[in-house]
Amino acid sequence: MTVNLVEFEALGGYFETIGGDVFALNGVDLGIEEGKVTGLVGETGSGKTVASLTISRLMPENFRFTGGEVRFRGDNLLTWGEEKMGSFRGKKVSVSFQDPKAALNPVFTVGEQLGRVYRTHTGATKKEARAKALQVLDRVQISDPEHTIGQYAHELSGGMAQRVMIAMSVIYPPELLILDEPTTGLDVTVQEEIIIMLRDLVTELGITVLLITHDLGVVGELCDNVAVMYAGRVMEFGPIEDVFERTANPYTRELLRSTESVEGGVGDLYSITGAPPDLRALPDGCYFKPRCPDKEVACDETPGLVQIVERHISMCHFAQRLVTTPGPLNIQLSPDDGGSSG
Amino acid sequence: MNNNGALLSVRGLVKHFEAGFWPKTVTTVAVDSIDFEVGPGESVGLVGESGSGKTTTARCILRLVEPTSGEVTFDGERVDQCPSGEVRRLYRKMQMVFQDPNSSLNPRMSVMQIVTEPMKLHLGMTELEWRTRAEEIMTMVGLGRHHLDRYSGQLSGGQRQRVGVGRAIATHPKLVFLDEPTSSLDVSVRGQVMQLLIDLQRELGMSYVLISHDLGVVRQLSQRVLVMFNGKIVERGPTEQVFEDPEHDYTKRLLAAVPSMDGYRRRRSG
Repeated sequence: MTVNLVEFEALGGYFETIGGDVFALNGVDLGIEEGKVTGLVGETGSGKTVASLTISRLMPENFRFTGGEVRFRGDNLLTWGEEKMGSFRGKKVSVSFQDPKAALNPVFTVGEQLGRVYRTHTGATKKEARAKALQVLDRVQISDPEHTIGQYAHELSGGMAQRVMIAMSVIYPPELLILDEPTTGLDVTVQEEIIIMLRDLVTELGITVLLITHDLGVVGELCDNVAVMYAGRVMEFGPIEDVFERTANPYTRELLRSTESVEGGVGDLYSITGAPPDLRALPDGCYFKPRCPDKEVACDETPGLVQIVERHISMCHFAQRLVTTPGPLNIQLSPDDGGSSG
Repeated sequence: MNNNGALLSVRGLVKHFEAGFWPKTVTTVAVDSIDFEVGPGESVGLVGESGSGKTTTARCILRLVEPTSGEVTFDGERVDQCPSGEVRRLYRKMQMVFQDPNSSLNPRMSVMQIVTEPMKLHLGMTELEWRTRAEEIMTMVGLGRHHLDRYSGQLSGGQRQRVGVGRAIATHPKLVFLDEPTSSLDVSVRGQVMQLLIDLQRELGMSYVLISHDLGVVRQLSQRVLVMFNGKIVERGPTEQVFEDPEHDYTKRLLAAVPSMDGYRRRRSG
């Protein structure tokens, strides 16, 4: 049986800016399954970070909700008071922010920052907090925790800062861990180390994870479920095998093809024509329509959510038809390993 | 002295950076005596992780930083001996596309100003000439005439990088350094810019030095690869050979670490 820890329902919102309202979320429907790693992928500006920030209600001041709900264990947290939110953040949900060098406080040492998080949630003594900090730094594979604990953010390399950021978000294990671009900007060999470390850590803690990334390769390495966002909507959502191999949305398919062609480095280059829409002036109907190779007259109407199988959902008029044609990854899987089920 | 017709020839290039104050200066060896050549119309990939010295190598060749020692010959001319007042003259034939188009394009200049600045500077064109050339360049990089009036803030990431490429090819250079030309772009448009670079090279016959940690990009764009590690070139060879049969441990590790859909396939089949 699957239980959703967090559910988004028809969540909408925009940023008020001088240049006009920027519609970042345009009806997000998504369930984050308990105990699983859910990937949230999308290009720059697709709304993945904003969507995740609504869970901890840490949106910038100029953000306005237009409707919808974000439920944590069935309770709409958009109605909660600030006090209730305060005890929820960090205890039930914690965020490992993107760009850790900027997210870490430059004037406190790693130890002070880790210790403060732990003491706030547990009321432990400084000594206990320090011991815990050393333990968790070791867990995220910092080679010399005793040394690192006394360092400041600017003294850390990119990979180390990312490890410290992750340590900070799990020193008091939350029910939901949000990892925002944990491998972006790191060298490939460091990325690989972080991915392996995260995989073990998540298994060990048994917590629910929401992984935000623009890199489908990272999703492929870490996630059980994946949601693909485009212009503030979830285009496709489901278990990773369904989304990758029985793809039911043209955007997902094109994104997978581009990734394969660009990252693989062999064969013809493939990319999606055009660019993502301007969030200040979104097209009518399906937002992907202007770039979609499969577009038809029906696409002028906003598509509804189509359920393919129990948890596999696609926002496309032709989802049922698309799913019968093999997904991009399916084509490439050789027959001997293509049959194994996950 | 003519280096068998090589367009660019680098011999024993060394760059030291010094940090701190005397007598406690610390010397970092960023580039440690490297040699390589780039032929006319050739595309050479320079790969390695951050800190391996690949960007410093390019900056030394372009004299954006002064090399500590070594010989750099470009198009029959000793770049390293060029008086600093005349270095600028080299940029007519040698150009660079920078990593981050957001910070390498002046936000207060229109696309027209950005693209025509090198023509005015190096080619002494009349207004009619540079206007015509600017329109030609827009077509070449897949943008429209109407983009010339825009400012970089009004363009998407992919469009900005096209402008960066347009600026670099404006003076008909013989050699273009591409420093991570696609790493700031989303995957759906990355292929577009890569295809543009391939097409332009075919059309204009320039040489490329492609600096990247993205091995997929290097594989698509380069005929030859140089792998840098700690300021040294640890492996070199034709691209397919290096990718298919890497010799150096570092190259092997680099190739194995690339996050790609292979990770998913491994997980599914394993």
